[in-house]
Amino acid sequence: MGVFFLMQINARASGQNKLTLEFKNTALVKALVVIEDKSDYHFVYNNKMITGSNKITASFKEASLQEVMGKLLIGTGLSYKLTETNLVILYKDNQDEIADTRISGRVTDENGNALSGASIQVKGSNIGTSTNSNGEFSVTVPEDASLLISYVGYGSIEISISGKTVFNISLQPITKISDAVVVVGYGTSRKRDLTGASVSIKGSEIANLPALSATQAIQGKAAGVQIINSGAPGSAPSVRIRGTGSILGGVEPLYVVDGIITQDIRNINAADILSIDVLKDASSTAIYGARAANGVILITTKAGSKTKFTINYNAFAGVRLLTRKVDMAGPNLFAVYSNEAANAPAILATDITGSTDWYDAITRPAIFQNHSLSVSGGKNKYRYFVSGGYLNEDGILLDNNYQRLTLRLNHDYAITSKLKIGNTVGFSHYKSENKPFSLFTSAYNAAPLFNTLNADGTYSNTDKSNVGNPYATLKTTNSRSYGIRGTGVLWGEYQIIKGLSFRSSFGIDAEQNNGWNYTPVYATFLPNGIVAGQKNEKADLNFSKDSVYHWTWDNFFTYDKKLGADHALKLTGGHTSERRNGWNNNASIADGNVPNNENAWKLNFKDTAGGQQNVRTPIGNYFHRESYFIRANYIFRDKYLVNATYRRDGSSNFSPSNKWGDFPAVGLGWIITKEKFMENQKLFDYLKLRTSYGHVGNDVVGAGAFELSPTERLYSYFGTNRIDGANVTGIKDPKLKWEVAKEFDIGIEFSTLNKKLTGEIDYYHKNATDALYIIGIPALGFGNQFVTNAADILNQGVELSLGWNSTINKNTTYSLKGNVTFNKNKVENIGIGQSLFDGSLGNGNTSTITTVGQEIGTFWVYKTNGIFQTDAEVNAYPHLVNAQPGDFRIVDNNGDGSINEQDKYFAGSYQPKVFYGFNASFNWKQLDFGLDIFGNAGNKVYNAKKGLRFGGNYNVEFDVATNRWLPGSGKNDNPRAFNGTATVSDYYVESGSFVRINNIAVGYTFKSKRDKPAFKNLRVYANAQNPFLISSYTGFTPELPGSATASGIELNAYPISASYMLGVNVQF
Amino acid sequence: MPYSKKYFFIFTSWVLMISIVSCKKSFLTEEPRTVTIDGLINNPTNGAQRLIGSVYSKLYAWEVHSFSWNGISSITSDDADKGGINGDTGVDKDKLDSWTFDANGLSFDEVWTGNFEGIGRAAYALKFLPTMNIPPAERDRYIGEARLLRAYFYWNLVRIYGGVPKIDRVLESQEDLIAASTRATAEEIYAFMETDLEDAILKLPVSIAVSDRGRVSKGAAQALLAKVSLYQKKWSKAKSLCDALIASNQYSLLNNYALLWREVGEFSSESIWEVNAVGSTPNLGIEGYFVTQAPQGAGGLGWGFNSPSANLYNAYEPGDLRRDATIMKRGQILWDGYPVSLSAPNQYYNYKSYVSKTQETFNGEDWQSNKNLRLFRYGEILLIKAEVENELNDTTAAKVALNQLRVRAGLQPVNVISQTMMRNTIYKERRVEMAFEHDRMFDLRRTGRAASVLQALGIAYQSPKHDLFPIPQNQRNKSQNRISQNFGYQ
Repeated sequence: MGVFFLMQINARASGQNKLTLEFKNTALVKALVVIEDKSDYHFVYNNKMITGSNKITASFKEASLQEVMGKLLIGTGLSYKLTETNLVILYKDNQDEIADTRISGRVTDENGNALSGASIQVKGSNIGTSTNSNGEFSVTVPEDASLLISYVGYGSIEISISGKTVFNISLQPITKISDAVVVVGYGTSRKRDLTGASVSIKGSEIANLPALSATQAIQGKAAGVQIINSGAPGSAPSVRIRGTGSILGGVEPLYVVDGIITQDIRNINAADILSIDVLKDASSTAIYGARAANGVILITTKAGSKTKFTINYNAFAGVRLLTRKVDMAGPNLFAVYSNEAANAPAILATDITGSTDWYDAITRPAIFQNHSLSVSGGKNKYRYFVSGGYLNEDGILLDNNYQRLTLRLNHDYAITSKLKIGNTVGFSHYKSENKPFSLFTSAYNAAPLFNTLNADGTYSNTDKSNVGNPYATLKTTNSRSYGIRGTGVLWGEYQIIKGLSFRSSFGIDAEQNNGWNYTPVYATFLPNGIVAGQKNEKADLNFSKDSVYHWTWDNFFTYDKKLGADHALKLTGGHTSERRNGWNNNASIADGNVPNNENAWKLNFKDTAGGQQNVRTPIGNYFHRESYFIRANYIFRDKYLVNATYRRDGSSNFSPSNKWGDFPAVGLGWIITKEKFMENQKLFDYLKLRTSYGHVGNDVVGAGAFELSPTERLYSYFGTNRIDGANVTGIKDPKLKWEVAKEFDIGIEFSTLNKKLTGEIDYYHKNATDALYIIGIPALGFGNQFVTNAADILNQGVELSLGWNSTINKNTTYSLKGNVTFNKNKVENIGIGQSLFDGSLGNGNTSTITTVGQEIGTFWVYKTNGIFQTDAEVNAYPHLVNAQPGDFRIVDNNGDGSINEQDKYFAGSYQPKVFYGFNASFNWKQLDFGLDIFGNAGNKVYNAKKGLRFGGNYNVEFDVATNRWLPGSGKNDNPRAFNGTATVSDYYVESGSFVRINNIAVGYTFKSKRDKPAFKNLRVYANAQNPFLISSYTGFTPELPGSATASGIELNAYPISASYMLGVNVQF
Repeated sequence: MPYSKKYFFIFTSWVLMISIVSCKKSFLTEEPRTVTIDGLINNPTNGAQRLIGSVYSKLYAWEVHSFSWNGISSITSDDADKGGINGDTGVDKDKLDSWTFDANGLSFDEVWTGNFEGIGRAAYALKFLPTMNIPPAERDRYIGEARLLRAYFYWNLVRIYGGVPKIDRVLESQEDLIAASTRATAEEIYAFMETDLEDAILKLPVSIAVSDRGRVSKGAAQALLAKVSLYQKKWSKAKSLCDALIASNQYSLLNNYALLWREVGEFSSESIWEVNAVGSTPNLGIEGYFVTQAPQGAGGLGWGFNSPSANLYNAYEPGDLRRDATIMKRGQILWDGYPVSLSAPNQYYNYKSYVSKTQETFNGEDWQSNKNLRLFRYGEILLIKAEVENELNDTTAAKVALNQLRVRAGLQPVNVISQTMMRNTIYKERRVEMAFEHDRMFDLRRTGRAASVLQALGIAYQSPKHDLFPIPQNQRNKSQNRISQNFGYQ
């Protein structure tokens, strides 16, 4: 059978219904195109029906559709049918000749809502119809026919009639590359019209996950986007789009929520999100110019619908359990190991007064619940979406709790046919009872040989370790943070003439965060009743308040015009200005008289011996910005695409001589399936080739980075008068400017096998030039470093995403999606600078190097080759000072006969060579099932806490202690018991590869059999989040976000947890 | 058309509003949120004082005048041993003592860094001062001070390393940094110092008010220039400067040499330039100067480094009062009644760096004690005077100058006839008069005696290699080796 083309766009309900047209010898198809262009009518027809070569010559003035169609269809053998949504369906007059069964039915979406305008087509014939506004249809068909039911944006279903006459059909939504509308900067576009690389994720994919931040929930769902979750409640994940592109500047993407640029999206309820669009290459990001080098994440919140009034309630609740903790030594093993390390019997049997697993002592199963309620709808002239959300989440750390309340009010109004005004307003409030996450590290380090409490109920302690009692610290920590944040945008759009509109939007983002830390007077006691070192003798209180405000004002024109049938032009251009400012106020007192009662804190305690401080300091990220931008999209014959973008950015972050930067990009696209020579092939339903090149910037350098400021308190004495000397003591680059990423991308988009398989493949080459770098300079009186635009960093890689949508039968559909990204990061050049060392291990040593030819933050460590067994062996090999049997034998890499820094080697970095995600969904009747998997491979992590025993008697991992080297043991893998500073070596470098099941979900949708159901839709579901992790890493978690030069180091432990939950989603 | 007029009006108003908000020239300028340079420069009451204070501040620095400085200027010489306890290294002081150091020695790096920091601060002060709106006389004095201080920091560097990078202005760019990262010759540095000092002599006051003690005078500039001239064997120049200092009637010898080193001897008639340390709150002392050199043992006070050598102890003539004012001994009861421990690991300790915890200002702060460092005193002027007169062949004038010091020390005046014998007498007198005043090692090299003196003590001193210390390797690395290494240390 022939390919059935649907010439259809989402129907618009209002608009001009009187037609003024003139045709001269015009073909019918062309005439229909002209009508579509000049009206709100759209035509649906099988292109095989229009076979005649009749040319039409006619003219109409203010004519109705009926008049026009009457003339056009004369002699064609066609009839038409007008739907409520201005859809015009053409059909053959003679269908009755072959019809012998009358069937009817109703087509609905996945939620049971009527789909009006859905197409019902008899397979292999020209017979068909479409549904009315109630989703109902009736048509006369051959008895043995198969029906193809399709609707834009939904998966098609094929049903055989087999004697039935009534059909209730539910369609599942799909995203087809060709027609999906996606959000781009300052506008929207059809995905098929884009020349850039971007990913769009629907809000419905993330609403049911227990994630505070929407980015957490899209982990594994977008190629090229690496999301690293620390797992700590309330924390934002770290996001890298197409690799790490800076050393000292920012590496996180830009977030834009409803057009407003922001840095933190933790205030947004995932249930309010309509879509998340990730822009990856210069063609798509250059519209954000100096801030786009790390990619852009656009978030759009929901709007109401003019045709549907909906109440939606979604709730879930569950429990989070600690699933992976490292086994620590028990009291006896700890004592043996410590005594051996100290080479003295420092811990005696009598010192063991208890046995505590400190993780058990400070953790618990944590309960969480989340509720979202939204009301949305609209009438002719307005639409609204109103929602409220409440999240209450306990931490797995005892007494740790986080609560968030969100409200959202989104409206838009058509004041006249040309003027629209709208708003998106979000408000959030949070309250967090904080317990320091460092307690997990304390629990790792604490000696296991005493109890949490003494027999008399006081906090216990030991004098055999200086870590103290983590439980006592937890219970005496009184720390809360709470705050409010309001974000609001008011926008207006005016259509100046058809095709040309002007939009202005003004947004504010204001937040206030408050917090206190109070430590009461307390003590811990040794079992013999003596007060131990861990105590607080003076109650102290610290109170802080942050206020931040940020406004953005966008003004831009959009001109969207079809010039005849061949040319389509869309221009967007305008101006934006922005301001962010903030201050922190901090007050503290440590006089011991602060009562342990927050209601009695009035912050007017007298300044006694403890002192009182009140300080106001600016919040680092304050700026002014101003930009001009223009974008031109030109499409020729719907198959050749050109997209040119240019943005000029001014920023207060840069020196006066470099305030302004220019960021151009150009993209080209070719929809190959639109070519004549592709008409007869059946392999591709859709095939597009696109490529782009452009310059985008990274301006995250902090305010005043180019500006010299004096150092104070350089004292001297003149007589008895102390002079507070002040002077400049360094050098800053007065020409400091943004980093420039030069990005090239080439990609293919396709859809094949009857649109069942869709995919995208991209190759990218991102060269960050002028990257900020610290150049070490000789001491000549101007400090020891110079920060300037000196480095080049290359990220190149390949991204592949594939999607498979299929319908097995009318009861069973499934979809599979997978994506994989290969990335290679390399520092290409560091100018006159030298290697940078970072990745502090907390013991004075560093673990990473950033240098030419290597990845940013590559681990730089000694290579070990077994363990010295005897003194003779130590003496026989080059070794570090004080090396002794039981220590690592270090490879003399440069063969100079001694072991020093030059013998270290590059041991890989935290940046994965490949990362991937896999999502599956399966629907059978009313049952649905989902699975999300995420993983990465080829990276390394540094297990630093394992080597952090120096100083005091810290506890040690059970395996490390059990398998330690002993004289004569001949063991060659774990070192002897020791208390010293650990040598930076590959012993601590482990594989960072892992595969994780992010989420497993099962749901059931109830269907009401009543005529007037109490609800439109009711779904109950169960989720397991993070139930399995496959990783060879011996620490807590291989997901270890950090700065560009110090990622992947586990110094502070944070155990992994899994959550199990039940939820309900009901729509009225 | 009315339509287009309406649009034009709306559009123009809108553009105007955008202009008001954002097109202000200052829109993209953030006011700095710390003390600014402008705020400092434009403060007429104390801006200049704070600027110059920052340069003085470096005289108190650990890197400039304390542990490493003692290591290079003293421990290397025949006057002092490393001290401390056997086995402690003093980071690298053991290697300085035994002359087994190399370019990686921390002391070389610290002293380099500290003195250059002083030079950098002086460069900024000299950049800003001329633009400041303060009375010209005041401004001239500050400029004179900055130039003298800069010359002093260079004086320390040129004696240790020979030629070093010449920083005659503020570095402002990567190009400046690269250009500055090469060594000038020692002669160029001397010439640079002389220009600074000549100008300082013109600009600085003759006497210093009590309330300004610690600031430098014209006499300090003359004294440094006299010594700089001495090192370059510019005898006449040195002589005229000494004569001018003597004729100024600002200075005279203190009768009791021992009192010179105590708190009562601070800013005495003999003092030309002292670093003004304060041992009461808020403390400001030369960081660690006292504690690193104070005697160890039971009830000890410090780390016991830079311990006087037996060779020095024996260099004093019998009856020379200066010996017991310079060197304290194990078990000795000091002037304030403090008993040096009998278990002290070293026989001798430096008495000149001693601070009495009971009889002098001391508030418990060991690190920043009240010990003033005497940079120039009249006694040294007499030594320079004696030496240059002798070199100019006026042994009589030389004797007059020298004997003033001998008489004060309780010794007989010398009556030497030949110029050579007089020269050797002056050298010996200089050693005992100036012991532990950071002079000895440089003096040995200046006079060409370093090799013979140190080799006699069994040290493998090699000339010319050891006539200069190595350029710190760390600094060479950071300059991408643009800063060259001294002979023999490559």
